[in-house]
Amino acid sequence: MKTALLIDEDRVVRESLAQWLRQAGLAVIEAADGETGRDLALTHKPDLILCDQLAPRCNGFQLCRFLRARPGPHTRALFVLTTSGGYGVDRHGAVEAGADEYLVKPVLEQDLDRLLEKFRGSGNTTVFLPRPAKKGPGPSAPAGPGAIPPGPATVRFWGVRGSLPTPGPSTVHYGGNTSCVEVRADGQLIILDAGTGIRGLGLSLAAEFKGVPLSMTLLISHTHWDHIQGLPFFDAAYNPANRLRIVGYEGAQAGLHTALSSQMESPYFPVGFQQLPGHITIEEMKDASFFIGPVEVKTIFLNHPGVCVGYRLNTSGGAIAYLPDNEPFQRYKYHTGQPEIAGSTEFLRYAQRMDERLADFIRGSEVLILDSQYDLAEYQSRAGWGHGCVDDAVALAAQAEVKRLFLFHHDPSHNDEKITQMAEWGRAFVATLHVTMQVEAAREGLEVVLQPAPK
Amino acid sequence: MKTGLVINEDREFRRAVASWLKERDWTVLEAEERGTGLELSRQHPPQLVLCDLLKPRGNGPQFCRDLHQLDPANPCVIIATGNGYAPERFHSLEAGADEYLARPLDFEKFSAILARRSGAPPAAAAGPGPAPGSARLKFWGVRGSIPTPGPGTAYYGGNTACVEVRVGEDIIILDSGSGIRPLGRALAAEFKSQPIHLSVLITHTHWDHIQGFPFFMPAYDPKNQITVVGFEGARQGLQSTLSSQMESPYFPITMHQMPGQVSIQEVKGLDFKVGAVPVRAQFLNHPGACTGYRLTTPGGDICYLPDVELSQRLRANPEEPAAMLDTEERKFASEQDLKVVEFIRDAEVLILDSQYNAAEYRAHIGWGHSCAEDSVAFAIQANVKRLFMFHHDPDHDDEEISRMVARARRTAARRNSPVLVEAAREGFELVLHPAGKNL
Repeated sequence: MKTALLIDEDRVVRESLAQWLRQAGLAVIEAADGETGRDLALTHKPDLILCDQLAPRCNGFQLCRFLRARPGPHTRALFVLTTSGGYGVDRHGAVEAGADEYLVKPVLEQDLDRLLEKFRGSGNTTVFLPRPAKKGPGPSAPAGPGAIPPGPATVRFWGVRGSLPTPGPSTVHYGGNTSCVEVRADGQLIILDAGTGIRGLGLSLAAEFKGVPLSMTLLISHTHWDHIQGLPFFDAAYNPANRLRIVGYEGAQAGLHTALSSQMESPYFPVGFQQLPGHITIEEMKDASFFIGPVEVKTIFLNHPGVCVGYRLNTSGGAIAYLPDNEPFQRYKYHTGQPEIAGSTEFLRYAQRMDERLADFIRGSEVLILDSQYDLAEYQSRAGWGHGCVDDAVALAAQAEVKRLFLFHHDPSHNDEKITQMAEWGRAFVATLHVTMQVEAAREGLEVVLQPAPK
Repeated sequence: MKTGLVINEDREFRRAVASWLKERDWTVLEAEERGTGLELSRQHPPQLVLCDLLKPRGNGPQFCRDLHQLDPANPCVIIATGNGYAPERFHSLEAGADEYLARPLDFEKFSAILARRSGAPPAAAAGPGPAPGSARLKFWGVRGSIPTPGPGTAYYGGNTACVEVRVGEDIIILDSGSGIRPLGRALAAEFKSQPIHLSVLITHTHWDHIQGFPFFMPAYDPKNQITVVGFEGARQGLQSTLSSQMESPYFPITMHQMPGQVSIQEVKGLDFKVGAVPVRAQFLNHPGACTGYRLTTPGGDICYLPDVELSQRLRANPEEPAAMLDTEERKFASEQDLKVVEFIRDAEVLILDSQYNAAEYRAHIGWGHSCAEDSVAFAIQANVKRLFMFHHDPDHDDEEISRMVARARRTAARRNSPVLVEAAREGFELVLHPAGKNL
C-alpha cells in the first residue's frame, strides 16, 4: 500500500485532503508543521508528499531541497508543493527545489484525482504527530550597555516607499526611501526591515548615542530588494561596539544569511558582509512567536511572492502590527483564479478563511502598518502582483478593530498629492463604516507615540 | 527686415546695442523689463532678444519658452547678458537662453553669434528630437552608492547613475541606476505605440549602476528592443550578474520573464560601435572591473567615467606614503593617470566621479572614488570643455554640492582654465551642436 504524507498547518485543509486520499486507497500520515513532516518523511518514507509552501518551522521549498539532497528511497517520493498564492516566481522556485507538482489551494478533488492516477492501493493507517508548542519566552536581544531609555512605546517611519527608492521633489513630503520602521518599546530598539530608510536611521542613531554601544534587533519581513538594500549603508553595523541581531525566516531559494550576504559581494558591492565590524548575528526563526526582551513577537505568512512574513509586536503600550507586503486573498483569488472555480463555494470559503486569519492576527492593534500600494482602479490591472489597495486595507483594519492604520509601501509612481488623496479616500471610507479608526499615510520622519495602557 | 529686442534697465546699454544693430539693418525694440519686452514681442515677433541675466529657478524658463513659441517659422535667438561669471552663463543657458554674452559687450563675438545663428535654427526650437548632426545628453541619475530621496537632494537629485545620450536615431543609456525608472517612463510617453530600439552601456555592476533595470518600463513591452552592452565582470559574466538581481528571493520577476526583447552583449575589444556611434572603453581604477566610455558624436565627444579613483593619489595613501614608493611604482602610478588623461583629452563633455571634497577624500583613499579637486585638475590637464561632477555622495545635500561646484570653479579660474564646471543635475539637458558651434 502506498503512503501519502500531508503537511499543512491548516487542519481544515488536511482533513479534506486526507479524506480524498484515503478514498483513493492511500495510507495517510499528517503533520501540522514542516519539521514534524520532515521527521515523518524520514521514518515512514512516503510515496507521495503534499506539503504547504509556507508550512511553519520548515517551509515547503526547504523540505523539498532537504529530501532531494539526500540519498535513499525517500528521494523517490512524488513531492507536491501546495500554495495559497501561486505566484509565477514561486512555481519556478518549486521546480528548482525539486518538486514534481505545484498545486494552488484550495486543492480541488479533480486536481487530486489527476495526481492520484499514479497511486493505487488499499488500506488505511493514520499517524498524526502534533508537535508540542514551545512554552515561555524565546531568545531575546543581548542586553547591551546602550539600552533604550524608558518611556512610552514609539514608532518612527524611516522608509515608506515600495519597490524602488524614488527621490525627487514630488516625494519630499511622504518620502522616497524604501521600507524601514523603528520601534522603541520596553527598553528595546527594534527595526522593521532594512530598505534605504535604514541609512537615515543609522545616521540618526549615531548622532543620538554618540558612540555609546547599542543593542538592536532587525526584523526582516522578506528579502526583496526594497526590504534589504539599505543594510550595507547602515552606519550602526560598521561600529564594532554595536550588537545587531537580524531575525527573519528562511526564504524560497536560500537561507536568510545567504540572501543578505549575497547583496554584499563582488560584483555588486565592494564591502563584504563578513567585513562589517559590528557584532552581527543572523537568526532564522522557525517558531511563529518569540521574544525580544519583554516584547512578544508574533509572525504570520503573508500573501506575497516568495516567503514573506508580517510581524506583530505586543508591547506594554499596545500592539504594533507590520504587514508591509500583502495582497488580500479574496481579491487575489477572485482575480487570478479560473472563473468557474473562482465562483465555487470551496474557493470562496477558503479565501475568506485566509483573510480572517489575517484579521485575527492584527486584531485590536494600536498601530497597523499595512501594504496599500494601489488605489482600487490601479489594483484591477495589478492583481496577482502581491500588493493590496487602500479600500481593502481599510476594510481589513476596520474589521479587525485596529486603532490607527498607516497606509504603507507607497507606489513609486505616486507623488505626494496622490498619496494624500488616497489617505483622504481611506478616511472617507472609514466614515461610511461608522468606526473610529484613524487612517493616515505613513510618512518619513513621522513619530507615533503609543499611550501606555492604564494599570 | 529683422527685428531685435533689447531688454535691459540700463538705458545706455540699450542705446549702444540698438545703434549697433540699426547700422546692420535691424529694427530695434527696447524695453526696460521683461514684462514689457514680452508684450512688444507679441506685437512684433523678434528674431533676436538680448536680455539681462536669466535664472533657472525664477521665471526665466517660462520667459524663454514664451519667446521661443512666438513664431516657430522664424525662431527667436535669446542672448542673455551678465557679468561673465561661469554660474551666470550656466544658469542662463539652463533657463533656456541660446547664447550668453558678458558685459561690456564684445561686438565681435556678438557679430559671430548672429552670423552663426542666421544659418542654423536655435537649439531650443529644435523640438524633442535632436537636430540632425547634433547630440543630446540628459541626466536621469547623478547620485553614487545609494538613492537618496528627501528634501535635501531635491535640486541635484537622489537617483543613482543614469545618463541618456541621443545621437541621430541612436538612443544610448549610460548605466541603469534608479534614474532609469523615470527615463523609461519618459521614453514610453514619447514613443507611445512606436517600438523603441535602444542600448544600455554598463560601466560596472555595483548596485548603484544596475538597480534600476528591473523597473525600466520599455523592457516590459514586447515590441521594444533593448541591448545591454558591457564587459565581463571580475567574478562572472555580465549576463549572470544582471539576471541574478532579478531572481527570487530578491525580485519577483526574472529577467527572462521581461516581455521586451532584452539581449546582453559582452564586448571584448576596447573600440566598438553602438548603433552608428563609435565608442571607446577604458578600464578604470575602481574595485572590480569598471570601465569608462568615450562616445564620439557630431557634437563632440562625451566621456563618461562615473566611478574612478585617480590612481596617483591612491598610491600616495598615508598608510603607504608616496615618498616610500620606489621609482618604478611612482612611474607606474603616473602612467596610469596619463592613460586617463589621454582617454578624456579634448572631450566636449566629461562626466566624472567627484564624490568627495578634498578633506573627505583623505578619509576615503582606496575606496575607488575621486575628489572634486582631482577631477578639475584632470579636466584641465586634458583640455576638456565642460566638466560635470558626478556620483554625488549620499551624505551631500544640495547646499554642499553647490559649495563643491563653487570651489571647483575657483580652482579652474585660478589656473586660467576655460573649462566650464558644473555638478550633474537630474533633469538637466544639454544639446551638443556640430563641432565648433558650442559655446
